[in-house]
Amino acid sequence: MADCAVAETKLLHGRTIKGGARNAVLNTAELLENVLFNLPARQLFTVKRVSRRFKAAVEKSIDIQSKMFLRMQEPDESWGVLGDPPLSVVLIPQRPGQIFGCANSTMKVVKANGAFFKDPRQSADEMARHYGPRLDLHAGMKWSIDAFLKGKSQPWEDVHITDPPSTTVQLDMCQIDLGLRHRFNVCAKVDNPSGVTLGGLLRESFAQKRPLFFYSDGDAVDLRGRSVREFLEDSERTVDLKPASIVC
Amino acid sequence: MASEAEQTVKLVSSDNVEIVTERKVAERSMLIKNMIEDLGAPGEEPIPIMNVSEAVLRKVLEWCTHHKNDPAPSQDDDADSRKKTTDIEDWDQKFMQVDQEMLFEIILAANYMDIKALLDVGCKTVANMIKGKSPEEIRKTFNIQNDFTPEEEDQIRRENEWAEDR
Repeated sequence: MADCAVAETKLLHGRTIKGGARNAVLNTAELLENVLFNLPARQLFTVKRVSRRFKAAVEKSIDIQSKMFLRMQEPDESWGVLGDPPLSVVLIPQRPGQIFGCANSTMKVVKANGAFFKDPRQSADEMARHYGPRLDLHAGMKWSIDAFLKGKSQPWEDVHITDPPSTTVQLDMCQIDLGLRHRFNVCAKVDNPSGVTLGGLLRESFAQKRPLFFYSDGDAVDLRGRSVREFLEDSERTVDLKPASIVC
Repeated sequence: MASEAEQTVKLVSSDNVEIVTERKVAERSMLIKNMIEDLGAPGEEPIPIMNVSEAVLRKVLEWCTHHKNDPAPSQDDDADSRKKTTDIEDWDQKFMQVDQEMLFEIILAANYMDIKALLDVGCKTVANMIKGKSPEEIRKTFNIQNDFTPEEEDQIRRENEWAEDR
């Protein structure tokens, strides 16, 4: 199994050069993959920028690609976000930029995308006990979601939110928090025979004509029959409403 | 004939130092285990560990001694042991508190000697040194050269900016 790794390290054997062992490990694809596999899913996207070897290790490893949800695996219950049927997942925000709601999937959802959502085991508290299993979007995605809302294509659009992919996601009440200025609650049902993606989920939510509540600068706002997207587009055109802030 | 528990084996490091150790300890290494099985008569013929120096071999054997009674990994465990947890037990964490070069030497030795559990602990330790660091910080920590053109790097940055926590 490690034939080429051993061959490569043998060449460096007897080394006296400083950093010889380090280079031997980091320059051996199999060992580098073994190291990188242990990183959080989210960081796997950013470590690609370190060097060509890092990028190749991330992009060529089947295990790493699965962890990044770029390759779907067979059902695996090891993550265990969800309990017994009816399967549901609650997304609850803790900070601006997060989404919450209740989703019922027609498929058995066993793993949520770690690049989008924080590990639920790290956020188990009173709310979680009250609402059941929960998922929090990484707060760091806020600016990217904001850009997506404004129609700018984002690289994560077509990435599935669950593994195995969910064909239907029902958001009973989904609060989308756009940061300091806007937040709203919607009901949405998202269908995608090949699996619901984060882009699809958000696009559907933004297109809703009847949000339950919409708040701007802390005040409830009547959208007058417009979708959130339409409202935001109209807001951009008016002088007194600046675009929702983007944290960069 | 001595019982298996009392048997010893002689290992020879790459710098020609002979180390006598318990057979059970040495057999944490699949390389050594297979060699003993092939050679028969353990304890008589010294086993050369060609790629591992004395200092590293002693360190590896220290780990093997502490873990000599761990259950042997089954075939199934082997396939997905690293998927299960990224936690490192306390003793192993302390064991891995060595300088960076020794850490990587241990990983190479574990790979060569085929000690999967030690290899995993080593790789997790390196992963912990990477966790939360920016690409620039990672390059600096491990003295890695940035071999992208500025244009290439910029493109990768733009594609993955959404995953940066700031």
